Amino acid sequence: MTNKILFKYIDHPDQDKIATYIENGGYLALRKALKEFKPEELVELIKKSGLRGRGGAGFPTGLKWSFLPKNMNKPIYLIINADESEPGTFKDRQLMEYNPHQLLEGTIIAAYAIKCHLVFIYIRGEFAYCAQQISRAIQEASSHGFVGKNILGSGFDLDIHIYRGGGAYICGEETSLMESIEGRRALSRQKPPFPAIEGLWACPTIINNVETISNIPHIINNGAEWFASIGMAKSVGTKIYCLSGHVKRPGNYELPMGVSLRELIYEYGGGIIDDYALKAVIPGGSSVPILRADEIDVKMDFESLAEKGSMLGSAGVIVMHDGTCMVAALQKLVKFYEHESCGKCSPCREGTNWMNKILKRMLAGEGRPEDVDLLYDVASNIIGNTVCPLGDAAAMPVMSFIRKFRDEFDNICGGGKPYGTISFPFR
Amino acid sequence: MPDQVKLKIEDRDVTVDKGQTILDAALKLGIIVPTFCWDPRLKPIAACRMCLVEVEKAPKLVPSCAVPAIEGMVVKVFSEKAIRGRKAVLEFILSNHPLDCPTCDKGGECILQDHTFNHGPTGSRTIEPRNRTIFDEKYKFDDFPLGPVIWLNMNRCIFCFKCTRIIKEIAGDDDLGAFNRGYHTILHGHKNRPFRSEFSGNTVENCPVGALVANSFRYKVRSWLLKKTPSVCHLCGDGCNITLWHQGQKLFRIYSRWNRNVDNGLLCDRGRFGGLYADSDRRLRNPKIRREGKLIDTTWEEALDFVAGNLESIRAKFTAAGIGVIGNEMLSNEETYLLSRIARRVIGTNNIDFRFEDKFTPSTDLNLKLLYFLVKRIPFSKFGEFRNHLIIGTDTEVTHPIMTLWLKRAISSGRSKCYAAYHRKTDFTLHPVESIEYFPQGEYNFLLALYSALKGKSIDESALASGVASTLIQRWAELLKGSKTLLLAGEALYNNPRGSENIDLLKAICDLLGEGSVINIPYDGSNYLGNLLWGATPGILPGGSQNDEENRSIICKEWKCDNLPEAGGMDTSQMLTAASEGKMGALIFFGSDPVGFYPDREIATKAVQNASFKVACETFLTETGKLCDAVLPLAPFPECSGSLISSEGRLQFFEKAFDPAYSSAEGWRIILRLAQRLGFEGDYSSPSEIWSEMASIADKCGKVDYKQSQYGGQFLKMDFAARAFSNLDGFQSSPLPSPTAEFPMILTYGASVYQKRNLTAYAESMDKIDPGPKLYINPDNAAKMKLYEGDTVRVSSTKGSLTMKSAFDYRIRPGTVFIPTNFQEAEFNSLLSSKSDLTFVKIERL
Repeated sequence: MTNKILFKYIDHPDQDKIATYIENGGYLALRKALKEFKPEELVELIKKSGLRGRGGAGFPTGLKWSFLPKNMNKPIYLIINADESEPGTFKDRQLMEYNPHQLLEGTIIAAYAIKCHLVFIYIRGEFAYCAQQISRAIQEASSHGFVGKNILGSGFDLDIHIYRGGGAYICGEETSLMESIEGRRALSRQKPPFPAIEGLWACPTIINNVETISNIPHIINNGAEWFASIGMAKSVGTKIYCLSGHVKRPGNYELPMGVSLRELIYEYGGGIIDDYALKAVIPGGSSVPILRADEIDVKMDFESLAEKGSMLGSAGVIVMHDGTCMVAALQKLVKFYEHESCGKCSPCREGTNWMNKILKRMLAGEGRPEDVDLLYDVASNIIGNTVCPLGDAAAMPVMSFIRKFRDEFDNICGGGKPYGTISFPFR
Repeated sequence: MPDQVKLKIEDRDVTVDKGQTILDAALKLGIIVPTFCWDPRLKPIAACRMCLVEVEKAPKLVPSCAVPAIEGMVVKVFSEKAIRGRKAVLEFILSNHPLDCPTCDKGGECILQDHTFNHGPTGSRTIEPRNRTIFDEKYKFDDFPLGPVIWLNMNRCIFCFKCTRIIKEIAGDDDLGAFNRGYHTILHGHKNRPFRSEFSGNTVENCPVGALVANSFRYKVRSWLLKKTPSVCHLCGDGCNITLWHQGQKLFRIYSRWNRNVDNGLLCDRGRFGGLYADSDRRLRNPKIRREGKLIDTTWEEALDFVAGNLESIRAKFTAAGIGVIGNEMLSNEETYLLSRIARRVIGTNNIDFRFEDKFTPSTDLNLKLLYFLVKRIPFSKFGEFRNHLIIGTDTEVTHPIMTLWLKRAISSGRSKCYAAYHRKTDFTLHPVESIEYFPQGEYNFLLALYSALKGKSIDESALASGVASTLIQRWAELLKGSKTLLLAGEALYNNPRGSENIDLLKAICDLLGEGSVINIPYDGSNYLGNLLWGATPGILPGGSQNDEENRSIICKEWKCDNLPEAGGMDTSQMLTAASEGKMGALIFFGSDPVGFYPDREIATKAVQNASFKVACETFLTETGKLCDAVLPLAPFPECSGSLISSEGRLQFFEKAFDPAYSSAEGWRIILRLAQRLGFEGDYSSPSEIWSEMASIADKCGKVDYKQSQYGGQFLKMDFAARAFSNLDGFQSSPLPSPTAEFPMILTYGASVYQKRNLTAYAESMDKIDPGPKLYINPDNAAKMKLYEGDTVRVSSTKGSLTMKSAFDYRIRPGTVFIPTNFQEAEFNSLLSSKSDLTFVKIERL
């Protein structure tokens, strides 16, 4: 539990107040960045640090920033994606509630690096307290001259706006998020053009996750080499793992990239509740393929999990014990995606609905033996055929559940009883 | 070439402009990629995923409608992966689509049916019941009326969002939207507000499935049983190209015929649904003549003999100058020409006019000035090339709905700005348009103020007289100065007591603006221009030349006669005034209804009553027809052939869809038979024979070059000599009379957006859109009068009074009220007097 970066002062009372934050070394990075670095140098620094997006895709942040078109007379926007809605993920909420200034400092530095003068923080509608905290933090920061005109005498101006979502999962997807800010229904846009070229109001836009941005002050303070030395070769830094489900001590754990899943569950999470046996783990939020109990000796970083056929995603680790019925668990998941599909693309809108109908039928004991293959086929028809990744996110768990727990599906479709007694950790 | 990209589709090379999509490239090669949500007029959204194709090196299938073509791209449309992807998409779309094709109105022309036939799975793998969206239990088949003309069946919707995008992106309205999320998505208007955009019918035409259907077509007929005839819309000057769908002698619906230069595949609801008036069973069926004070049905022979005999005796008694002909601006060129010929050559009178709704009919000099502006016509499709559009004296959304769409397109492209001046706000000015509202009939003062501002002279006096803040006019002058501007001069400019001065001022303003500025006159009426050019006014002969000695001799040679009546015929106002004093022998009304629409009902009624003989030729029995001695049933446009010249200057021919229903007859045939009875030796067997005669006259006169052929009608080249425009130095502002204490409000009147005179009211479902005449009043005025919306009010002027329901409209200038003219029962013109310029009224709550 050493080497905490983002959560270093998480237990410190009043860390959300600017005085305490400054006392604990806050806003030093901002002073340093504005004084010692040119914007281009900052982009290079972040590139060198190897920081990768923490929202799920793991795209190198510095590289994303460098995609912005040069010498364009359009304004550049920065959007902080705080619409954390992935089931099993709850890291950004804690970062915003307990350390909002860390996010703000990172935001200001990032905006300076990409020459942006208007930032939107898109906060999930349900996160009322986060919005309150961030809003108060912005007020405090601007009264200290960290936000507003001519920040710390550098001549750099910045406005930060909070935009609260209406409670839709799809708004976490970057193009839908932009549509939402523009005041329309959140329907994802076809890419290309990518947001870095044509994003919010057709202007170049960078969208970063809360956790990604929160890392930036520490990189400025300690240098790119320091950050690159933490974790694995390609997945560097620490990661907040959100441990939930049937574990004894669920919660957020900040650990270096590459910690083993077994260690996370048994050492940090304290093992499975009621000393059941482990059955399966979803390692990166509900959208990623599931891992069986015999596959948990895997390092939790982008590359190692990809090798196992799964993804790190947003590192929302959902643990399921032996008593879980995988069909019921999958139905709960699919129901979520069915409810949250924006309705734009036919495969996602109709496919999630169809998959939910099939699963409900299976659970009601009306499954036909051919339904398992049908379900798999429907899922494979969704993958890759939609505008945004929500379709893939709905189809990937279905395919992996069937691949790894086919016997349960066959059993239930052959007239057998649902396996297990205890329901899925989601309610 | 740098702005072109070369790619390979299905192993064939194709070069397209940079920015064009893969789909464009495929279409260029003739490869059909199935689509639902793609429409060339709309921004691609790639929602339906039907156009997925495989691109080499791309990880996923890409939607070809939205992905731009890139140099060196290798696209496979018919690879196994692409076909599998599209088949999957189709299966998803069908998984909740109710297979109610046998009862669906779209059956047979449904894109989903076509794509399923060509690309779809052969069976269904769904065993679950399909999702149903039921808005209202009381409607069968799960459909419900979204608005007065549109019905929605949400079950059939495949979510291509074409309807919402057409309404938003093209019409610029926000009347229709998608609500909820995922498969719960529904289309709906605003809460508690029906969906009623003027362009709502386009959603039905463009719906790929039967989700949106029109009230007038619903559950009536199978589309494949209908025959299609190309035609041209008659209900405004835009000249939209339409297709008539008919079976036998019944017209079922009107769709667009996609002329990229004129309508771009869009129609307004007036044309689409109002045009169905031709199908009304309330039409006049037989010729009628008055016997013992009553109009009784008779045969054509008897009726024509009766009319011809009476006209002969009137001519003997009153001389030919005692006979007057009043046509209307919807007559085709051929009919107008024939009417002009019968009036001038056979009857021998110059008393001919086609405008009967105008109080201030333009003089010959003004008509010729107006024709001079036709020398430089700007087609709608070139509107985007102008930096500014200055629209004065018209509500373009009412008079020219499709032209307005081109204006909106020019605005939304970001290159053009619009400035609209009228005596009230309009629907168009709700869009990003600079708008000025002057006093009713304040056109002259406004133009004078704008002219003076551009000249740098003091404008205080004229701005005050026009009722506009002088700073606002100064601002406009600054914004417009030096820019390439298109001036669109509305009817209110020339149908005005100071019409001639207005046009002089407009010309002067145009000359003061930037290089390339042009005046265009969007005439109100489907063939206003044709009527001017083919001699339906006293001062202009067929061919567009002025009625003088020299030109008369040209026409005489063509018509093989010795002389034509000398110049100096009467226009409508003069004819009606003379007739009301008993000075006219006979009046011939050809599709015109002065009693219903001439802005002085008293004079019009007296005129018709006092004329010794009067005959009306019309489709529906009008107020005028009821007073006439003979009424001849005129076939409406689907049953006639001919040509029209749109306000854009486009000559378009149309063919009849079927023979005239009942005993009605085409206009040209009625005129011809009547002329023959009056001693005319010639004969024509079809309108095209008339046209060839007209063509030779046009060649001789040299004003109109109709030979330059172009797709979608010939854009006429015109050659008119510049008229002398007056010296503007002596122009003084002229304050308008103010309302009196007894009659405190100014009455304005005009067409309403859904109606064309009283014709469209006969169309099914139009009465639902626009359910009757109302008095529109500004809410501020109403509040002072303690008037609520829907109250019954009495409107009185010095001439008379009317009782009608009131409605609020904040677009109306405070101090004025507005009455739509399109309702025969309203008798709006009983309030008006041809002697005064403005009409003042008082409003009382009953």
